[in-house]
Amino acid sequence: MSTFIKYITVIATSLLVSFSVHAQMSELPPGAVKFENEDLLMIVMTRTPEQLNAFYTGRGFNRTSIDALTERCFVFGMVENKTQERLWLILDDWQFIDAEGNVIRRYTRDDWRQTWKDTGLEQAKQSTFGWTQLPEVRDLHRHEHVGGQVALPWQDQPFRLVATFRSGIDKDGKPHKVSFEDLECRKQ
Amino acid sequence: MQKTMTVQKLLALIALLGMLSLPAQASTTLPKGIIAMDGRPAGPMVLNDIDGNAFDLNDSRGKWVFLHFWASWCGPCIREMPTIQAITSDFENTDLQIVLVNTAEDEDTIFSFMATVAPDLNTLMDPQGLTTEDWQPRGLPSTYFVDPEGKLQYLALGGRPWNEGEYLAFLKGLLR
Repeated sequence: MSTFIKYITVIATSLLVSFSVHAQMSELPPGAVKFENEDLLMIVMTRTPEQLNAFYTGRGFNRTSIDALTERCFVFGMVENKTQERLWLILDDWQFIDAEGNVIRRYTRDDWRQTWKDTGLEQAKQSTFGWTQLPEVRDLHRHEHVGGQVALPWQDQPFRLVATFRSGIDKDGKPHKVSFEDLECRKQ
Repeated sequence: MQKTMTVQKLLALIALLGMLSLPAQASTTLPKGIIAMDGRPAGPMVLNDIDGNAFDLNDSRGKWVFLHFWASWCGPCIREMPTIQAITSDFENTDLQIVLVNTAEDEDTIFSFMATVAPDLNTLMDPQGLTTEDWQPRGLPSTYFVDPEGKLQYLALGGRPWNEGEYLAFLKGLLR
């Protein structure tokens, strides 16, 4: 369990809600890290090229498209809102930061549209792919959860994710911030 | 004395009104994971089912429509589908129509999934996924409730156990 706990750090400043952290390794698949407090539950894990290959080949993706997927690093995230108010997943409020402290630019839906144009992926497969990605924006109701992937350029060094969630219908409530350290793009 | 009687009558009337209001309040309490929508008109939904029959949501005016988006690769969809199959007999020949929409999968995939998971159900096919994208459900699975006037009244967030108490009661409550 300590292996997992070391990956999770909590940022609590005067502006932010303070968190209590615990990880439950027994419930998680390999490579997954979990953060949970009274306000939100978040699980993050990276996908291996083999996992991506198996899933998307099974959905009929062509080889060129599979190659485009497996050369990138896919981070799966799941978030559940445990607050009494709306909690906002806004991907632009998530920062992936490399070992040198530089922000890693994630691939957007526009990037993927261009990729699929280049690889000749059919519309139906593009649609399926879209549903496996995290939405750009989602206002999570109490107890609602959302899961999906975010793709990054492949990283040879560990990186971190700092995810900020705004709250309230007008996004003017307390922000919640969670940081996951030492994430790795896994070859297997 | 007369004043005392009037106060008593007033209190009795308040108590009676309080009792009368209880069922109305209970009926507006939604099961967990079901949210009220703003009643905007539902978008177009014209698709074929797996038998090749055409479906147009506009033809369902006068009925509630349980409009469920799903895909075979989605884990919560696999868990939820048998609970939908379990309620179909409850709503046969009623004014609640259960309509499934598969998102962007081919016929073989849909056939083999339905045969295994919910052999009694039919589904619409959205082969390119474009109709689903127009509807923009909050992920898969998602279930909309379209009222008899064609307006979006409720949305179920994620998968729900439709054959269990509060959800079944909610569905039956739509028909009252």
